Amino acid sequence: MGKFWSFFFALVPILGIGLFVFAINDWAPIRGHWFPELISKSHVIDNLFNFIMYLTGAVFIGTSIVLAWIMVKYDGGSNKEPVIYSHGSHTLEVIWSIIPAVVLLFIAIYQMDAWANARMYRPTLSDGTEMPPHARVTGRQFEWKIQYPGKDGKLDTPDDLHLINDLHVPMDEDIVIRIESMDVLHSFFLPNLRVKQDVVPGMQQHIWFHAVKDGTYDIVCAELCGWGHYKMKGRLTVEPSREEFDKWLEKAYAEQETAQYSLDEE
Amino acid sequence: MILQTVKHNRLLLRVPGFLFCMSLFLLSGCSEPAQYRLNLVAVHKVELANDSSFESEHQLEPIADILEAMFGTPDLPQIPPVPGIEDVLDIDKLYMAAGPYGTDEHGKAQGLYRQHCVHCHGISGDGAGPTAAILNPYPRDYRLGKFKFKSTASGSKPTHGDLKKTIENGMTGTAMPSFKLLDSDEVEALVHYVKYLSIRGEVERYLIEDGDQFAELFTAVFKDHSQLSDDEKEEIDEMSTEEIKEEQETVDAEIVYLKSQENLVENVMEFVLSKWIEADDNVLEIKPKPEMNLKELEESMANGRKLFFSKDAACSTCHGDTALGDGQTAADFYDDWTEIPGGFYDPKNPESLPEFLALGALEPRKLRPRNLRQGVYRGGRRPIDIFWRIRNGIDGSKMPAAKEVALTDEEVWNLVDFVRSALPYDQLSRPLVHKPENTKEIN
Repeated sequence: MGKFWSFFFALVPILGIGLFVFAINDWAPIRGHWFPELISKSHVIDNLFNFIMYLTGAVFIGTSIVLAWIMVKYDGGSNKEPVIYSHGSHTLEVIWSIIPAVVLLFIAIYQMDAWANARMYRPTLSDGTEMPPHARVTGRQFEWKIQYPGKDGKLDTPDDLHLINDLHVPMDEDIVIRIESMDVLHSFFLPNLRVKQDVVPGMQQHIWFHAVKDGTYDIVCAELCGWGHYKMKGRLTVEPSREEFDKWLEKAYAEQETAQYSLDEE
Repeated sequence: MILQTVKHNRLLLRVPGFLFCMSLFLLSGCSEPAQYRLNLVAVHKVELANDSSFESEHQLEPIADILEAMFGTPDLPQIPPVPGIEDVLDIDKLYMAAGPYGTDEHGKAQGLYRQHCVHCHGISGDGAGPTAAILNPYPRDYRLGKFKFKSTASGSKPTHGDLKKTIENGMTGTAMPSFKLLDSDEVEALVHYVKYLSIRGEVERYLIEDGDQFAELFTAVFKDHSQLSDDEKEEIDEMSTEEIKEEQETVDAEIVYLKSQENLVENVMEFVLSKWIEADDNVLEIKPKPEMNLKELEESMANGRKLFFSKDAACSTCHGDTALGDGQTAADFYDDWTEIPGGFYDPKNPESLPEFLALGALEPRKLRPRNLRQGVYRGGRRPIDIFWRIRNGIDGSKMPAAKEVALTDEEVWNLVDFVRSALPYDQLSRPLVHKPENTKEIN
């Protein structure tokens, strides 16, 4: 291939890498397209992501350079050298088999813990029993119904608090959420906590997280669930302490139980 | 060689076809601005009742002109200059909600109605947007000016706060989602736009349906002979050419009056707007629910159960002995948006239905009493919400308002306690056996 085409094809990896560099550094015009702020105690998802990205990034840059270089150097139009047939190199083959195998093994072992912590080791109470859910989140076209167990800690009792799209949790605590679906497949996604789980009708699933920063964050649906999928957005509020959370819960419950109405208060 | 030519010719035919399709596709991006649709369902209903069709130049067009002069277009709404309207509608809020979706130069959201509402509620607020037909219940048609879940007395308009609560919390059990995450001024804008579409729709219906407006104009004198009904033919045939001419002038003069500010402000807007202005005066205030300990609550629930089956409250006749919503025995219950006079459907004369469906009306669905055992409260689960439902009834449905002579406040609270706390849960995944009446879906 001619020089022009070699450079033309080299533009693809250059643009691709440029996109990443701009996004990671939050440079214009690609702002706000990298990770949202991390508020989870555990950094393992981000670490895994970054490790894999930089590793594959390095390999990608290397192979792209070699590819472009070969296209220029062995250009059929200008190259008059006779063709050489070779059997290959045994040493090289051993190297490019062993290195990826080691890397893959490392990733496999490193992610096992991340997976187990996210899916198997549900947080426990001090007596070793599984932690009960802090709230039940039910996906419904197109909103998140959220039910808090109230003072007695049990769901489906008269002191439950029912809200829509409004999940409050205390900071610095393990939180377990039960997720269910009333109708179709949804996916409960907390981008700032790096938690995402498909919500399957008929299944009771639990997810857990540990937030270390207060504030309000997004809840989104990450599975196309119908024509109003884009509307299925909720708000996660991390309260600075358990006391603050209890205060909020009491206030929200009192509001739900409003049993008088006069115009003067409005 | 011949074969090749044939192939070649086909290709030649295909290229312009393809270009034509592409240009259609591209052109559709810059289509005409959105237009309000005339309420042809109401027009046809009046036509059937009066046995006389609407004449386009002297009835339909003036109505459309009046509406545009008063209320503007979907891209540029307008508020008719009528005293008191500023308490109900805010033009700046309407600008925020109207028009195509986008942001203004300050990055503020615009075209909120088309972003969030239009695909169900429709550009004219007719509750017949593109997704409406697949929903159950259907989206609200604002043009009747009736709203179900509100704090005001039966037959009154909802307050601003009532509509705001519905938009913020959504309506659980229906396709109406919660818009709690919008900025509060965006919700405000949408509330104003809903009121605007509702008032516009009511004015439109009044112009179409009221006997002193366009409904009974004698426009037969302008019609082609083929457009006349039998009665009209008889009448016209008896008239001389001069008499027809005279009558035409009278009708023209009547239209001039109907289009005048005098008629529009003093008759039409007065009729529609006064109820919206009065809404706040019709709010039912609720005295505090008496504090109860557990034993008193149980007594209250037991009393509520008695009332549920009693003659005064008669809840069980519709909601069923088991409160599963399967007690209703009358086969032909439809809501006010469906059934004549508010709607278009006459269950006793269903043969005209296809004509209305062709005009964009949605297939009538039978009204179903609520299953009270699913913990789903469309109008809100607060005790005051349920109190209002019982005391004020639900406008547009068959749920009647409980008068104070029939039920005291204390008795209403008993029913609230019974409904909220005493009924066992009917699991959606394992529903109880309902009576055949309601398991049989009609339509």
